[in-house]
Amino acid sequence: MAEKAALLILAAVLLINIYAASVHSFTSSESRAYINYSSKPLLQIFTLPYTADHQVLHDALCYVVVQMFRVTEFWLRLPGLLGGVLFFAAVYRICHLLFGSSLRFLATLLVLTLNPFTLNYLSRSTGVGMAAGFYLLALEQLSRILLDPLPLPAAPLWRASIALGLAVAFQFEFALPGIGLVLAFLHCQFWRSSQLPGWLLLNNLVVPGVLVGFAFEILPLVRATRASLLAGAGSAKVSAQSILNPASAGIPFTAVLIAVGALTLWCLIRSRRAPEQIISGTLLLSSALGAALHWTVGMGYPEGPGAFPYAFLVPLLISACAHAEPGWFGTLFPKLALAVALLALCAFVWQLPVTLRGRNRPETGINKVARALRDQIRRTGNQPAAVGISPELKDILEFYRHRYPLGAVRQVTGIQSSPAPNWVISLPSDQEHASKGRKALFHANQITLFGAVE
Amino acid sequence: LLLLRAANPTLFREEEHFFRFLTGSACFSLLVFCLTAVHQAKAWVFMATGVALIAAAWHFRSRAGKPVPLPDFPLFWKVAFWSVFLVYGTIYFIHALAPEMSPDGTTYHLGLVSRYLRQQSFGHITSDMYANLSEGIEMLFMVAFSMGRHSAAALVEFAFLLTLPWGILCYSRRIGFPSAGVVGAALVYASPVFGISGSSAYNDAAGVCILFGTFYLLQIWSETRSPRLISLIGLLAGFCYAAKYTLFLAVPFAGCFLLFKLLRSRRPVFRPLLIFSAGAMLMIAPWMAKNWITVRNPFSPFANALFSNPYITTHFEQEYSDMMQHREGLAAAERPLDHIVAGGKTSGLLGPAFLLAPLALLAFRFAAGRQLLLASAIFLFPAFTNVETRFLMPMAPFLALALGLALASVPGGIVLVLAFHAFTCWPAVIRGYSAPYAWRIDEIHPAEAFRLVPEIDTLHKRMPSVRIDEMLDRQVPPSARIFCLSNPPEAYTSREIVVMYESAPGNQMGDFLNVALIPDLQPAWVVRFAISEQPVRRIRIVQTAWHPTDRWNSAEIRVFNTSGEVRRDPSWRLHASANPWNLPLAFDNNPVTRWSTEEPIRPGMYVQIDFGSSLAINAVTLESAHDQWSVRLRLDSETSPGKWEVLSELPTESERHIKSDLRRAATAELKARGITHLLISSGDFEAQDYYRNQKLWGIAFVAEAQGSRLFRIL
Repeated sequence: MAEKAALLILAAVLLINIYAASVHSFTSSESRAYINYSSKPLLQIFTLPYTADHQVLHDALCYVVVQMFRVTEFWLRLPGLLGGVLFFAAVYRICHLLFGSSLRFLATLLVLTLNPFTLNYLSRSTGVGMAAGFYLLALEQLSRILLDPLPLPAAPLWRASIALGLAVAFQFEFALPGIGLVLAFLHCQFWRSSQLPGWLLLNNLVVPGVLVGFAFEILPLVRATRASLLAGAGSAKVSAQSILNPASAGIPFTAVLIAVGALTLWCLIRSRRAPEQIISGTLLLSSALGAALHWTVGMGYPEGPGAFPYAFLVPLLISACAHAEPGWFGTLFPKLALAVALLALCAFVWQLPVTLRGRNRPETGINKVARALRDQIRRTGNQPAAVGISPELKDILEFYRHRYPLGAVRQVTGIQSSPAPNWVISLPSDQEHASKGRKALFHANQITLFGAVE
Repeated sequence: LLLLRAANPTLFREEEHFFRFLTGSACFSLLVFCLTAVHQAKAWVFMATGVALIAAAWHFRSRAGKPVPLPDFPLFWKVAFWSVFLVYGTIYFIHALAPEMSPDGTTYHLGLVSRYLRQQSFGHITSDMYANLSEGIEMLFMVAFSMGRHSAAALVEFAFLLTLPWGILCYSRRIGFPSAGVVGAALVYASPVFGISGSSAYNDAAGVCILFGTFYLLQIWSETRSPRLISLIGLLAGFCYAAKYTLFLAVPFAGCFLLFKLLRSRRPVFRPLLIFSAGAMLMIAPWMAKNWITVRNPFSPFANALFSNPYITTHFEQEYSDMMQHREGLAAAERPLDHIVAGGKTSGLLGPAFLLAPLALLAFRFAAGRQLLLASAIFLFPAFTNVETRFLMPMAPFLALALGLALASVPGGIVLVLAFHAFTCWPAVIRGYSAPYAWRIDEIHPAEAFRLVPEIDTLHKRMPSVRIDEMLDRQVPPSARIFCLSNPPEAYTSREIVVMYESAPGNQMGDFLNVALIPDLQPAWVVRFAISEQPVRRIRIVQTAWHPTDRWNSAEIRVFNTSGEVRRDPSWRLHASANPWNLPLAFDNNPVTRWSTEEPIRPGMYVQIDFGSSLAINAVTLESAHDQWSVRLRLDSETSPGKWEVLSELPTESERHIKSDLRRAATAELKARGITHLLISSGDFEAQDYYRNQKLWGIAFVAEAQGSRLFRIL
């Protein structure tokens, strides 16, 4: 029953994601990724220097999709949507492994999949869905090994390693959580049997993943600038905020971080069950590695999609702990989890209009504005034109110049640049300057298209 | 073949093919050396010798029994190996077949080969340090060049490149890791630096192939302990030295390996090592002897401190070594990445898969892995002598095989690395990540390779500097000697070129021109030691200061007595503690010529004049340039044999005005040394001055090509 319900909910969420992917306008980061990477020749995608926007394998998939179909928001988001499917499947598998077919399974699955932060990424053109899916598959494989009796089987180790390598290839920020997961697994394995089969682990768990990650990421990484490599949040608090955005107002982040840290430590020390140990170990070790890199080389803390693993590892840990805990926490948790799941469901339903129309984002509607601009330019007989635009929208317009295409737009400038642009696309913050001597031609969400007064 | 049959080693069939090629090449190289030494470097002699050797080999081959093949290996790995081998082999073949345009190939590798063939012997070349390097592979080039010109020589190198992966594969099959061999061979073979140097008239790929053969033979000997292999090991180790100086390490490596294994198994040491040494010396001694006879230094252009000679000075050697070891703007920390990925500052790249090199340490668990890692560590040494990526090539096969061994038990590891390397070494892909001017095969032109486009048209298009060679061949008589400050591609001209920076005599001639052009180098500074007139038999001018860069020099040293300057007498015996060969330049009354220590000054350096009998003198003067600010001088005389006392420690200094223009004196001095023409490139120092002041220089403009002007010395 719980399984069927889970599948139904996941199918529904997927449909909503597909709808959102096809109607939402492109975002700045999606546009940058397309302009700088996916629109380049395939060979170049594997060699261009690494930046936070360059998710090598995802960009390559986008390239393939665009070559097969055409440049639209939906086709560019197809790899991301497939990543979402993989993520749902991985969540399903790991929840099923940890909780069987119980109600707790359904509750945890809902908490993990209906999280607005998570969903936001699963309908966008980004590699984070694929990366998270592969990462969870690796976690599931390693947890399964730990739950099964010894000796260690080679095949699941190898599969987990490859999955981790692919996760890194889709989103490089998964490297640290990946290392954390492997180290945590080794720690758990050592607790089970002090004689670690070193070569077996090296050959099947460490090297294959390193090779896969290396194959896709090494050329971008060796050509990356130091700034790109070290980019990220300035503090753990900002990092946590970026996970919970946009619903972060009023959350005491320091308290949340301390609570999560304490819970993780408690699990690691107290729990004897492999799943809690491996998840808490992963959280602790990857956080410790991140902090060490922050203090030694000044690397930023994970931010946005880079912090994605924490968004599902923390709820998963809490759920796994409660499942194993015989005391009050264990008794209380199923009810608590169900309440949280219902809350997540309510939040999801409440956010559904936003999800469907994407109207809380400033760039929402620029696809319509770009279409209107195309029509306006056609009316002028495709005369060469310059377009002034609010800085926040500049990258996105670059994408729409390819998308429609707006070949007549020879120049994209600032709103107040000289000579005055023929058309202006502006956000409300720039409308005072944009409207001077011009009339509004089209309006979508918060964006207005202005043309010269005839 | 004959040698292998005589040694009767226990080789598998594939191994026999591999070692036949290597030992045959070694012997043929030696034979060509001998023919060249006796003035028989002629195409028909090479042809006849080759035919005779092939006939002899064929004759003995028919009587020989067939050795057993190596154990078979899976079809998948065969397909993987052949795919890389054929695809990259086609690219390399087309590149090798195309007109030769490589920098070193067209200057000295083939420039010297072409010259040997013209003079049918080595001749007595003292003005080109590259002629002093061991040229074992160039001997093979010479045979090919005599019949097929430049591309034929490149194809000889290509043959070694083709052989190398087979050797690696055979070795891995012998040790039971064929998949490791497949990836090891591919890592080496598809590597961009191997590709370009192995399909050009260079000797690096050939050297690496011979080196790997030496290692391989050592491993077989270690396994079989066949005493007959020792002479072959010596021969191949010696051939490494003959192929390239930097591979001399193969000799001590093989010697130590044999010694260690023999001692460990408590076997007699003396006789095997003697046989090994004899085999090695057979290949090494000819080159040492040639250098000893020609330039008085068996290890020229190195070890000049031990074997001092007028052709390469220690300072020249030091400057050359420094230049080779460093690149401007390349920090030590940047080197690994430039060698492996960028290749811009180190002239070539190994390929990004070599970033996995640390994983090769996992091969330590295998005995063969330890051997390979040791070899790769030892043969990393050449990379410290020269910053170019080519000098990492000797260690690459060992490292690649060790990496293959490490990955052999990783599921999918070898396939992934193989695919990654094959992908990232593809010319179009390399363009995406390497430095724009990294030395590599960027594109291939089959029409040019197969001469569907005339060779000269290709050269005009892709190497315009060949027009300089055409100009020289057209405008300069065959007996002429051309002096130039920067060298054209010598391999495409039949005229003799003396390049300024390739020898001490060349440097000296360049200095004559510079003295004429730069007032600060002219002998305007006069140092005078005035003493009360007294009879002396021997005097010394002693330098007492130390400086890391300043060199003591003097254009003229004059001796005076009360009746004026003492006329220089042929019975005077002149000696200098440094660079004594050039001391006569300080006694020739020519202001453009000067004696120099040619090394940084240190206390105790001296110039000695032995008058042959007692001579009354009251002053000694040195006319010098000012480019030696730290020099401090003293005048000594010998009071009794071996006993010296100070005559003067406080010389007076004055300036004199150089009245005459020294340009004509400079070119006259060049002419006196057999130089008939000057070739001045537009980028050379004061290049325009030669054209503007032809009369002052005593030269006449002859022709111009590609910014280089040719002048005849009148």
